[in-house]
Amino acid sequence: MRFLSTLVILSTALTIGILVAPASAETFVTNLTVGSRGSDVVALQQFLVSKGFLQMPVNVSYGYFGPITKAAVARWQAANGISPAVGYFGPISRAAIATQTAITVTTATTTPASPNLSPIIETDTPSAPGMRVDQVMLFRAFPFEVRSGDSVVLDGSGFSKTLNKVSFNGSHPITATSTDGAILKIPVPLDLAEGEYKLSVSNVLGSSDNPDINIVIKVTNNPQSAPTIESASIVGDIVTLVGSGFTSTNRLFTTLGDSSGPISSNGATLTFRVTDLSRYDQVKQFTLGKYQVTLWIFVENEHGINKEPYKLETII
Amino acid sequence: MKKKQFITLVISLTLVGLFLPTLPTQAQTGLLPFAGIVSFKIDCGCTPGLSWIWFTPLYLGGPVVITGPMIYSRYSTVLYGYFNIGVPGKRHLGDDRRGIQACWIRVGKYCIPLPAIGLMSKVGTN
Repeated sequence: MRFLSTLVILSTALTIGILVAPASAETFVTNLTVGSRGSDVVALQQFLVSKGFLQMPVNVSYGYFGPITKAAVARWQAANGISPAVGYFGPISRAAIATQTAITVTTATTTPASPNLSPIIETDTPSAPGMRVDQVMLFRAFPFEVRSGDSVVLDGSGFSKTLNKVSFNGSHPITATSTDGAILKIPVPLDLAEGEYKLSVSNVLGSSDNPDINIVIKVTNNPQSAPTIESASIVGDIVTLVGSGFTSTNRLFTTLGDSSGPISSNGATLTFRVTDLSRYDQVKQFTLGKYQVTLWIFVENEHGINKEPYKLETII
Repeated sequence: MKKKQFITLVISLTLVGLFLPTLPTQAQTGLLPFAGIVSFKIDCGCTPGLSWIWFTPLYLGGPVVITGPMIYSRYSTVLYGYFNIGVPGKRHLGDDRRGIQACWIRVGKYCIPLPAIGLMSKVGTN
């Protein structure tokens, strides 16, 4: 009987172990040198970038160990007393990284929303998926129209977990922290007069200021809600959106392109032809009406733009 | 007794065998396969270094073949030969993290996430 019990326990443990055990943590376990490729190289390059030893050239992808990476490894080795500092990432270098207490090379926690098994560097300024790791960036402030004292959610990358400075037209700085590096929730300063303000975020990575991109909010005593799409339908090539916040001058932005001009609305419904969207013909020339496609829809007007796109399935 | 042991062993192995195949690759890696032929490519203006690539057809492993966009990031996507990323007419094969919206484009005074099916984790091309 004891054998039976042991067998059952072992089998159950094995089954449960298989079911719940996370994938093994990926660390640097292989030697890397010129010609190496893969996620280990990406992680090494991200580490070198985060420590200032590597600057990836424009139009060069992460993931290939080339001469630039080799030179960066050599610089890092020299700075850390690793000899010979020739740019070969072997056992001594791997051990050196592991013993640096300031950083931990580990596997990202797998979550249903954004699972990731690539080795990442735990830093104070996590980057959003796909973004460069050595830059703080600001993509969006929502909502657009606010009162002083209202909360605004900032989307971006490289936000600090400990200290960010958010400025409004370069002044009225406030401090804020992020839990994931991609979202900041801030209050609008009470002393802001009505008007539009360009936002910027700065931290140890630098400033999000970009001459080509202005992320703005409008402070007003009478903020209006951005458009919201509650439902949508398509009959033939005519799409009807039902929602709120539509005005007489709405513009559409979708995965099949933009509307050619402003579209008026009675406030609750908005109608357009999918064939009028700017990329429709470009896609249709390949699909010939045979493929299923998801049409993601944004509506923008003077009061803002819907935060989450509405999804509508159709055939193109 | 030996018969009982044998039955228990069979039951135990059956239990393991039943559960093992139900563990999809996705549960372990978070990645799903995709393949397709590039129709066109758009650069993500608010997130330089990322591209929004439209595929027709686009195979996601299910029974329905669709058309749609995936995102390539030169910061995180591992690119394999022959490196013709986003070139119209080229076949792409790889895996992606579904639902990650990383391509932001300029729209008036705003940046918005240009929606895509996923963010490529690795990809090779012909």
